[in-house]
Amino acid sequence: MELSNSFTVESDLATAWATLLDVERVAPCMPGASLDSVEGTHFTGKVKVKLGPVSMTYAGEADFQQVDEATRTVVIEGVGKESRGSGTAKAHVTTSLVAESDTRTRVEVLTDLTITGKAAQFGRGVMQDVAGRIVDQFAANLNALLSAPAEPAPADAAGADAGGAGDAGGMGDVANGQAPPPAPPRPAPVLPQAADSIDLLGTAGAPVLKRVLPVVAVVAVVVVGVVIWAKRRG
Amino acid sequence: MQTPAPVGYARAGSVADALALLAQHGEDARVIAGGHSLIPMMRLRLARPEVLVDINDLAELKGIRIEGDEIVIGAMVRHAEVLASPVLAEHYAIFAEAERVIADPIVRNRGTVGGSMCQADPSEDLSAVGAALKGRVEVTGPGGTRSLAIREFHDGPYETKVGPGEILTTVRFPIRPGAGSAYEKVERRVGDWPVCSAGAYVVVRDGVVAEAGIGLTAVGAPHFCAPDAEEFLLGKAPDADTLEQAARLAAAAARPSADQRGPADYKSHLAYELTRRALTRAAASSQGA
Repeated sequence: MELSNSFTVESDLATAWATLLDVERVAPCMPGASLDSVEGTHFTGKVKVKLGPVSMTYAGEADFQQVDEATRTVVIEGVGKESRGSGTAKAHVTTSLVAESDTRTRVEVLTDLTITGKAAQFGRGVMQDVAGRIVDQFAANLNALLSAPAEPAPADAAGADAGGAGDAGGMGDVANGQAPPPAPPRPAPVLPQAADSIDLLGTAGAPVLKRVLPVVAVVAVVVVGVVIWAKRRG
Repeated sequence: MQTPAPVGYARAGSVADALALLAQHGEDARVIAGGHSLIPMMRLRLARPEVLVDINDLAELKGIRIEGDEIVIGAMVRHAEVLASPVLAEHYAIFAEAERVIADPIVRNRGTVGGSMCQADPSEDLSAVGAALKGRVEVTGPGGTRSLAIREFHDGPYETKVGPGEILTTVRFPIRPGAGSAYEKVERRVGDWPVCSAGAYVVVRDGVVAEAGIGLTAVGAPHFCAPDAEEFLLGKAPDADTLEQAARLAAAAARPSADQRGPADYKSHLAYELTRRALTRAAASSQGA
């Protein structure tokens, strides 16, 4: 089934693109999500979702299948399995950014979901509603992140691997003159991050390839798994 | 069919006791009353609380009574009691009409009004009744008791404004002299979740609609109601044409999804037709009363 969500962030297109690919900053925006590992374009994580009396933890993995700088589109394929065996979910997520103005960007997320197990008998209406609400919450958090005053970028610790630094961008600061190296299928290097978050990852100097969008995919997957409640008495 | 996972159990003796138990066990605790929403979920292991806080002994939450110009229904009142209540029947026929088509006697003997409201299934019949009658709920927690309009109670499917350490304690409805009310439901089999349900109350005064409330469930109407349709009716004579137009507005408020119960266009049609029928009978009842 297809779910479609969209939200806007108060940020220019380039910054929004770069930030969305910057998992360290974005992952905390996703309610209930945690990242476990990142290897190249592959990563794993968990998302815990509570819906009424139902609480489910999906452990998932996902891959970037496509990162298109030109159209600002990312395609991610994610698979999640509920930790207590109540089902699985697969999501094919296409995320695109569209500039609405110099200071506003629209994020469109199209998710193709396949559900097995207990979730399979569930109805589309609730799934869409819950997916929408999770994305709304994510968007609000992301918007706050993007609207907060930027920390001055440290020396380009990130992107070294990709051989070029993104611009030391603050909010609204467009990476001018230095286009990030295009690298499909490998994701573009992230813009410089706060030094402490790099240290946290222990990957100083290496591009951080964690991505938030897969988390969105996993969440979308989880959302479906959560709203399983259709089997009524009798 | 599975069996529930092992779970802890505590029986509360009072509201204060229940709140203390919820505070003690935190997120992992779940209130259990009738259990006919929670236990099936536990059997499927969709819900896995660590501790059940049993509130069946809470006398403070039982009973249907009149307080001034309000009907007060305790959260622990069983569906069966609502169905049989002469107090409710005297003021609003919609209660018995809705309960008659909710589940089956076994479930109605155990399930509670509070439980159904808090379960907040997007197809919950009592949500439509509560929204139609513009009722209020009271929620008690460590910070005290607060009152909420039912039309502001739901955050989404299965999500309400009741916080983790809180309990819904009463549901309240204004008494409206001269009101007529009715409930219409279409379901695949007796007692099933509705494909669509519509409930309405109308107060006809001097030949025109003075007040109206329309509730819809299972069709994605925001907050289970149709305010535009209600607004439209005010000041108009409740003739067939007017009621049809109002019903059309109500159907426009619905946002049904296709699922195993039916396609979206069918549900939209039902939203129209069932609202029309409920309004017609409610208006007739108000005028005949």
